[in-house]
Amino acid sequence: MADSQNVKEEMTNIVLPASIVESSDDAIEGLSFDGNVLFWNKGSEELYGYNSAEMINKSVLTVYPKNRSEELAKIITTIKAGGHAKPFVTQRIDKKGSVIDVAISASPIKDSAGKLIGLSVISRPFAGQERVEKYAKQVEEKSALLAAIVQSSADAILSLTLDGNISSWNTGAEKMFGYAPAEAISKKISIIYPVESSEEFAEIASKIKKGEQIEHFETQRKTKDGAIIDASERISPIKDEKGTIIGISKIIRDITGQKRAAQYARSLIEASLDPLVTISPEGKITDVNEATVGVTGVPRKELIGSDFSNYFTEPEKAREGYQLVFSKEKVTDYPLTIRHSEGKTIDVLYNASVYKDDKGNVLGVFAAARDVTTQKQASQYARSLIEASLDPLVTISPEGKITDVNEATIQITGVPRQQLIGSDFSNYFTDPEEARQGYQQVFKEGAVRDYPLAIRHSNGTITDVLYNATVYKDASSNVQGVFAAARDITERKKVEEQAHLTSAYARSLIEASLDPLVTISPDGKITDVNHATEVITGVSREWLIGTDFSNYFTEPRKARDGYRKVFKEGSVRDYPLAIHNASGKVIDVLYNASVYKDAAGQVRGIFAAARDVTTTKKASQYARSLIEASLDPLVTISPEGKVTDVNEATVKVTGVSRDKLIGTDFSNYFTAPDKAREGYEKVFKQGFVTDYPLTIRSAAGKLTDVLYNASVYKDDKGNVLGVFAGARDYTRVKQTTEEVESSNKELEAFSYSVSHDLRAPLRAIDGFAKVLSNEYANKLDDEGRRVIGIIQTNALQMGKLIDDLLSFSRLGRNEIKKEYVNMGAMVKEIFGLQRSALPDRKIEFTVQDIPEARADADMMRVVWTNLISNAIKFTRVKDKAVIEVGSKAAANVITYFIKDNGAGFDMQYRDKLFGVFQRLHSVDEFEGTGVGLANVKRVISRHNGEVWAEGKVGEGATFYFALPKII
Amino acid sequence: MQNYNEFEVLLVEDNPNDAELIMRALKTNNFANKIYWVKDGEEALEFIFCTGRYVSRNIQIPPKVILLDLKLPKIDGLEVLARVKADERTKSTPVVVVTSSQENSDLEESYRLGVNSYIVKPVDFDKFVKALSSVGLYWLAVNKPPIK
Repeated sequence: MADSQNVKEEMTNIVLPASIVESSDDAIEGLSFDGNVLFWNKGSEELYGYNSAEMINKSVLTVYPKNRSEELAKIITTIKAGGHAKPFVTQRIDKKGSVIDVAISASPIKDSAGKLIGLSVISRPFAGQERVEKYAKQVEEKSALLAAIVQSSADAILSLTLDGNISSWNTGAEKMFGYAPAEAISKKISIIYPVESSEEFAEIASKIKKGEQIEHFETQRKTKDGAIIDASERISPIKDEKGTIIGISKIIRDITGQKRAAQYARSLIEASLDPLVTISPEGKITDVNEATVGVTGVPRKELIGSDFSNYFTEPEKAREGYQLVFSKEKVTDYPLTIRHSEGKTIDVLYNASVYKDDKGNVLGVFAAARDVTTQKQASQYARSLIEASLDPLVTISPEGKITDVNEATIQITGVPRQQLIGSDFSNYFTDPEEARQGYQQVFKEGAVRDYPLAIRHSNGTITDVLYNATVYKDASSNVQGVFAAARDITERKKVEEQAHLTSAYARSLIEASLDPLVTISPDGKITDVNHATEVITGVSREWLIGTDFSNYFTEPRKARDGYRKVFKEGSVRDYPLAIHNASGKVIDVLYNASVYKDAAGQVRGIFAAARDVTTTKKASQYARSLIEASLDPLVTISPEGKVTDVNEATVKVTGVSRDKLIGTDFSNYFTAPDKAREGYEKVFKQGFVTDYPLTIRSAAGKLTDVLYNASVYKDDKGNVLGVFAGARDYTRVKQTTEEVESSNKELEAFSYSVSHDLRAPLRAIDGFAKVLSNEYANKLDDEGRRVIGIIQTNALQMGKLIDDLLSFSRLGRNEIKKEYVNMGAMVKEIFGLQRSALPDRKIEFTVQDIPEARADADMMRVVWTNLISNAIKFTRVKDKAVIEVGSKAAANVITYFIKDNGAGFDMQYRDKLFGVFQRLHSVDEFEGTGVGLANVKRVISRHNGEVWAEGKVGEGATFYFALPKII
Repeated sequence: MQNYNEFEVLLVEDNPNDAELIMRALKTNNFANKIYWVKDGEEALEFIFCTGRYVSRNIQIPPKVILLDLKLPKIDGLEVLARVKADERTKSTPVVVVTSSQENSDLEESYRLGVNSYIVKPVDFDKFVKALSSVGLYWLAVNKPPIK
């Protein structure tokens, strides 16, 4: 099949020679190398008298005289050797048998591939020597033409009689249609028509006969094996010397490939995603593909004929572009921006070249655009990514030069970009050779991973990095260079070192552990132990490792069950075992163990830590015995309110056996089960309760009032396991309290009635005694008036007694309201008040700087009032009273005192000082009710303080009271 | 029929001895004729609110002061105090508690209810006279009641 290039050439070369051959006066024959005639023109027919049908495929020796037959072999040898046979004069014999003088020349016939397939011979009647040279020259020219004709033999060249019979059939025809000349000659031309029809030929023949020109046309023809081929045909008349048309010549060209190629090319063009366009020398668009329509948003019809430059953001640049193509024939990657009709712009790169006609005339520009918008964005994006990368990135040429770097590379090397680019990659490493080997390995293997290098910064800092690098290629897969990304592993290295240290640390921790630690393989063998394990087993490490874990326990089966449980459940806690020491000693331990896994999550074994609980066990036994020994009923309660444990006291108070108590509802054993429930629920909620009152009902119906103190108890992890509740039998306390409360109430009622009812008659006695002495004084003698006076004095004394008694009672009952009391100021105020009633007394009163007290102010007033009035009262026997108030501070208490130089007292009676109604003096000596110091003692006692006194008869007394600093 | 509107002092006191001593104490200041004495809480309320035995009294002309013992038959003194102070018509009438009780609870409750004064009866007659005559002087002569 001819390619389009050859077709073009042949098209231009064939038409004219064909007619030359036919119209030539010279005899022109084509021969195969075995001397058979391939074609035989009119000239030959005229010269030799044989028509073409007589000669085709016959040996040309027919026209050779017998003695000149070797000439043919000579000519063929010359042609085969690649030369031309120079014209020479010889003789031939025509059909009539006459010898004719002819001048002969010969030229080779080559097929389109240039292969020699035969020769053409031109014979001319020889008419004198003078014409030889001229003739020879002409022959030579024509031979050249014939050679060209022969070259076209890929085309089928055949001749037909006017009634459509094939009269000649060349090798091209043979090749094209598959019929050998013998098969084709004398057959109707319709054998190569796809449809059996003589109409086409009849039409052509009639036109030819009328002398009409027939343009070459495209049609379809059929081969011997039925295949349809696209064909281009040229038809010419064959005329005799008188100009009479005697036949028709046909040159048929197979254009199937060409047609397909053209269709293929078009579909390729249309299918191209790149906008393609052809531009005329005037800059007009002459053709476009669908992609151009898409990218411009302009229909094909409008595009064609319009200015190419119209469709760009920079028309002038577009114009310059195609002009550049016309002047340079070609441009590549010419950047333009297409503006879509809707305003969108698309960055493109144009590759364009001129296209020419057969003669080399430039017809226009063929331009292909490539949309680089996304590519541009992508590359900008990629660049920004590269720059943003914290990892130093670099590209390296095959020569090992840096071709590009990112910011991180600049940072890590301390070298500016311009200086980096073009320099040796290996320059920047502590080991340049290693670096070189690195990139060479990449070029060789395509990639490396985690290639360790150390970058040296210009300031000397060294950064350990791991390089990942790959080659990068251009579109044609040619390796352009290496792209290398480094990762700073300084930190990672540190971490690794740290990890190493940590593991060493962990090991030392393990060894330092006082608890025996052991690792166990899935088959129960000890794989590692610490020193504590050696100690507790009495067996050396070397011996322990590799032996059965269970060997070292009093109950090997239980030990086995233990580690199997760990493998099954992942962990155990507080698994009790007893280690059998080599010395025979048994040590109770609790094991906590869990599986350990490798990085892939595969269980590799068990890590087990034991704790010696021998002492713990003792302690717990001790605790148990304490619990049992407790007289208070103790009980543990589950979150569901079930009794989980009790002591003997609980058994006693409930009258229910331990076995029957455990597992039953706690609330069952109380007169108010709901209140019992609320109680333990409160404990679970708040963590504890104190003095929660309940009444236990025993099996026999006996009731016991108890106060519960209870709190939750937790496991190691802080999970609440239950409530521990301790009851205290307060049946008696309760009774006593009730009694006290009722007697208090009685006392209150008594006090109240005393204050009202007892004083009213006294008032009446005093009041009416007064009325008597005022209004009836003249009717009484002195004795009468003295008696009335005694009545009044006693009434007043009794009133005072009642008042003091009431105040004593009140001081015992009233609630203490603590505040900060300025004792110094209070003392001075009280003294001032009392002093003012005794203007005649000489009193030297000093108050030190005494600290304030945290106490009930009203009660402190009672204390100081009594102590000061006592001091004043008992010093009246002295000419000059000396009273001093002061304090002594100790760690936890403040002791206040008041010292006088008064009557004093005998220390043997000091215990009586603070009793109610206790007096050391008669009323005649010193008036008083004997309640004052009792009140002082009561107040101080209620403040958790102490009161005491020192004294000496006739010399004075000192009263002390001490108050806690923080109450 | 007696004109109860003329009394300036209402004395509520169940103990006749105390009542006599109080009246004697006030007599020294010439207030004696203006004192009306009732012996229990019930009668006191009838007098104050012009009901029952005292329906003829005009509530618009209240006593200048009510001297009130706390421990009373039938209705006790705190109740009487509460009723007087809770009623718009009588709440502006001064009430002076005169009692033997020094109990804090009584004091606090009295003041809470709006008592105007609280006097503890002393056993000493001289002090008693002094206390009451100063009360009488103050409420009857010094104090200005609102004009009705």
